[in-house]
Amino acid sequence: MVALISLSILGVFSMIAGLFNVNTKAVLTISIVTILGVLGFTAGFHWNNDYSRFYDMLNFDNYAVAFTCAILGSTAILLLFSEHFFSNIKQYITEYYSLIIFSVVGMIAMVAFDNLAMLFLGIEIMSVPLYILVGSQKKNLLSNESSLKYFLMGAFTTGILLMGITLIYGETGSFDLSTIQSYFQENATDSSPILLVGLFFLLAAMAFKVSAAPFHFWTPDVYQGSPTFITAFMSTVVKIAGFGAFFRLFYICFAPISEVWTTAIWVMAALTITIGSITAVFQNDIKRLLAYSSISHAGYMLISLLMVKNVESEAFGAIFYYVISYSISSIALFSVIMAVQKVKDSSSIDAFKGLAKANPLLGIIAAVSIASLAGLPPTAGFLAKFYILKSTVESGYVWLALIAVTNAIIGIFYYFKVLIAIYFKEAEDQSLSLIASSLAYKIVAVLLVIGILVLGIFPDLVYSIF
Amino acid sequence: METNLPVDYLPILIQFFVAAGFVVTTMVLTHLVGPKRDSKNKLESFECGIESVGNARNPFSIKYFLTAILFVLFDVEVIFMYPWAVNFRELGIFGFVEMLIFMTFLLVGFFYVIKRKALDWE
Amino acid sequence: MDILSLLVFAPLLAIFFILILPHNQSNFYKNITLVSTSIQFLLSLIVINRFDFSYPKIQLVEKFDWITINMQSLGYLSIDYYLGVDGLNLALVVLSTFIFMIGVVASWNVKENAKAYFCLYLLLTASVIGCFLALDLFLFFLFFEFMLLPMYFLIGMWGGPRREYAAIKFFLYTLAGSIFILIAMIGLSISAIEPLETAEQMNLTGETSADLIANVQNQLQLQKIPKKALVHTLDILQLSDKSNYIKGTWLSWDNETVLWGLSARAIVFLLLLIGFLVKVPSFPVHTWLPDAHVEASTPISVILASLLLKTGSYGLLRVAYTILPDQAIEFGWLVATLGVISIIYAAYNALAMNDLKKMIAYSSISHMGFVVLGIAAATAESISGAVFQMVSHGIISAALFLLVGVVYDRTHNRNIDSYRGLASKMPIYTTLTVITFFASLGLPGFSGFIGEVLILLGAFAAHSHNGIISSWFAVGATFGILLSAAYYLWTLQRMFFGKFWVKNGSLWSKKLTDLTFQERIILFPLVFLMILFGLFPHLILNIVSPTCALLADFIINR
Repeated sequence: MVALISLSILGVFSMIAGLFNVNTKAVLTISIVTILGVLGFTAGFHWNNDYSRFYDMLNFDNYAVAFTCAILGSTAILLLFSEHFFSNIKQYITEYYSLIIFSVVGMIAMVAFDNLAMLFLGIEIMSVPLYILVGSQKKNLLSNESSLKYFLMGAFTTGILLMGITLIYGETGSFDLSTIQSYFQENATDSSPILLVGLFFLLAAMAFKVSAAPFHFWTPDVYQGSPTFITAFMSTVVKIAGFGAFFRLFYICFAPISEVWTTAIWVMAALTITIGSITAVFQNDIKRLLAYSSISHAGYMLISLLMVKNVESEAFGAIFYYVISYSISSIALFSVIMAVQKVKDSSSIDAFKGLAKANPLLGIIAAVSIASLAGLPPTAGFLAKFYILKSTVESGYVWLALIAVTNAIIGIFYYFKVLIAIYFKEAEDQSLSLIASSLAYKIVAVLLVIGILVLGIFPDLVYSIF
Repeated sequence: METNLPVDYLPILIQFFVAAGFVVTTMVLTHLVGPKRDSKNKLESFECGIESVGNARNPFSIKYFLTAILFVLFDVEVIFMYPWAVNFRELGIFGFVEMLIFMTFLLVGFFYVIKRKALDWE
Repeated sequence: MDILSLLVFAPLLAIFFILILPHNQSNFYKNITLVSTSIQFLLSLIVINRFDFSYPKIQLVEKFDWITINMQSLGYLSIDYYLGVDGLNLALVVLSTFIFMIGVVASWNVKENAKAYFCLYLLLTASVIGCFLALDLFLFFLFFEFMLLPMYFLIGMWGGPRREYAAIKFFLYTLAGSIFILIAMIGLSISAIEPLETAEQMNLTGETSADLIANVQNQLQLQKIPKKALVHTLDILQLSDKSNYIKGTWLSWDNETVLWGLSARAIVFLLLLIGFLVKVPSFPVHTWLPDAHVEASTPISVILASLLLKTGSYGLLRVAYTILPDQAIEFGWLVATLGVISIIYAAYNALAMNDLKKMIAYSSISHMGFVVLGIAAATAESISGAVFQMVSHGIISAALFLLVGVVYDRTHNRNIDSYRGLASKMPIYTTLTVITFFASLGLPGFSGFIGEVLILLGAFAAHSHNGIISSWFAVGATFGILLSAAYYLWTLQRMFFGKFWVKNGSLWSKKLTDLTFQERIILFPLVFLMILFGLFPHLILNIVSPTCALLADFIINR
């Protein structure tokens, strides 16, 4: 709760700060410090201390607290890397900060909701600032295109989401998750068709938000068109929030009728992983490649929804560990991309040729984060995949595990395309050696790399918190 | 005879088809049978009897759009006032404070709009 | 931190030193690496000193809890940090520390990007030795897969013209193999328990730990242990114990569920088999090796041939044969067939090669085929022979690739038909080559002979011992020895004997000088060892055979 209030005030503050031309560095510092403070408070105060507010519309249980902390932490790290993004944009810089912060407020509501109305509100508060942020490079045609696409598709999905909520309300007579859940428990055997339609509308809407196939078509265009910083924000923080909400809704609320939707999730996960990784092989633009890779990762995370028959803490641990490892690896890789884009106005893989020689530090960061995304030991990405696969086999989905594993090998192929460019190719010009990174950047990036390795060697740090 | 079968609704369906059929038939018939004498004046669009000027699809200033959107934004919030006004007594001081916070945020937005000169025409 | 951990992680310290050393001190990188690998070699000698030759089981154990996954109602999964040595891995560990030391001297002239080169090299040492020492399947897998990454860069950044292709091919092949192992590992992780830790969960106490284990295993068979208290394990030694498997899980010994016409245990065995055979490599998944060798630089080829291939055959013995002995008997014919095909097919390929390095790469595949055959036969002699052959091939192939490196460094050409009569120009080089070739083709008196003879003896006897494979496999393999004699002798004749002639005439003949000091100090010890182990095989067999006899017994009495 404190998180929501203080972040809203922070958002308003940085919006107003733009009016009076306050130094952007100062606003950035204040934002990061506040976010970290809120993170510390949430983790320290709400952990093991369930906290319901607004007639049980929001419930800060351990699950919500963990995801809130992940969202806040990732946002803070990303904001530290935001220098480059804002050096291209001269106007309204603090307003963009405030949009990001407002979006984060929505996300917190998304992972802590206990009421479908709150879920809807959270998704909207998150999405509306994103539509603007995606189009924040006003003069760039691609940016405008992706903004419009994202807005139209997002608006359409909102309709579907609302329709789904309405149908479920119509049948159960409540927005409240626990009421709906107990309704399902009582009527598990004969759920009416209207309820099922509502359920699948919700499934479709959530799948759109986390870009799971077959609702993934917007992702590559939007990821490629947006400014890189926003792409990073969308593929990490927004994804965490999306999965936080998805998991909370289906795993907790719809668990009693899991037979109905597990088959759908099964097929969606298999499709998502396969489409994501096979299409990624043919990409030459790194942002597009990462868009497809993020689709493929979404598929792995979807698998964790299939563990309904397992125990809560294991499933929570598996998804949370995956989300964290995916998010820090992606942020590390995006930080390299942003650094390269500072000197080269291109995001094609060719722009990365000879990076390792020109700037060994960036080379190492890229290598470790790519190894983690590809799932090689001893990085966090490997254990994340291991946990997911292990519980898949445990729950009896052997075929799905085989599909996932096959795609992991394909994954190596396209991730290593980037590594080949970075390490084995000669640079075409000297511009890469011009990259000058600040000390803060270096420290944070190195910490991220260490984090990836430490999480990979001591997974219990995150895995067993639930 | 309290059965409620789809077949019981058959009369309604027939009624619907008769109504739709009558409309379609008369329209098609008049179109085929009636005489047609077109002229320039007859085909021109009619605007209050004044002669029409230019194309209706003119580009107009984006500022209209901005103003319109802002109007809608600040107008819609009145919707929140009605339920508050109706339940004013029950909500008491708590409702009053909540509403105050809501209005403050709204005013901050208004302040921002004015300061950013979104309403300045020139 | 005990001696084995020190052995694995000492290179990390060296990496740290290299990383903090500034660029203008780049000459010191190789010195630091040499010191680090020498220390490792000394440590491995200390390990031999502490090793009790008469005790065939795991010694010098280091075991800690590492990762514990709480699965609530399904119990726990406990992954340990577990290192130890026995006859199977001790010889290989000493071999690797020695070869890594040789490899540093062979890379003395690496100038380009030396910092990265030596860091990756040290990472490779850590992971290869870790792989040999690990006794927890998870830890083993971690090292097994991690070694791909430094190797990928070492081939891809300091290799020949088609290095990118070779590096990614190497990576994808071996990674696909490890993925099979990963699936098998996941299957195993939910099937067996660790009795002592389970007893702890159940609050059981016993007089001795043996009593306690027997008690827990007894209760497990009666299905009396609540699911919540089960502590699943990936410890290879616990996985090899029949009575640790939970009744009713897929991989328990009495499970008769059939998938695709195979039992679950058979599937897991085949998965492990594929995974390890890719690394060995054996027909039909061997095609990455010639490419990788041709493109890799000399020291990397040496490491690849003499150590990385061994992790595959070692894994086969340590993991597949130890955990699934019943299936090892069932599928002995398959493993042996693949081994014999590798021996003969690769030998024919070697015969046809004009590129000297490619020829040696194929001869490597052929000789690793013997190891596979020896493992398949699973008698005491053949397994000892297989381990002996691994060590001996490690030494011989290192020497072979170094010898190829000698001509390649001088002329940048490795084609056999570009040289004739090198003996007159480079006498010492020729002498060493002749000795190494003879050692490799299995002439009595050299280490290659002992390994192959033991394997063939074992394979012949397998028929009457345990009946896993018929004697015809040994006959087929003997034919392979004949072929290897053919290609080695033919190459000797073409390249070294006759009148001196080289393709580029005077330009090359000026460059073709005899061995330098640096080349001598790495080749002489290798050649010395070939002869030493050929004349005194008990030096290795004393270490190896007790454990191998135990393993053979274990497989028969499964």
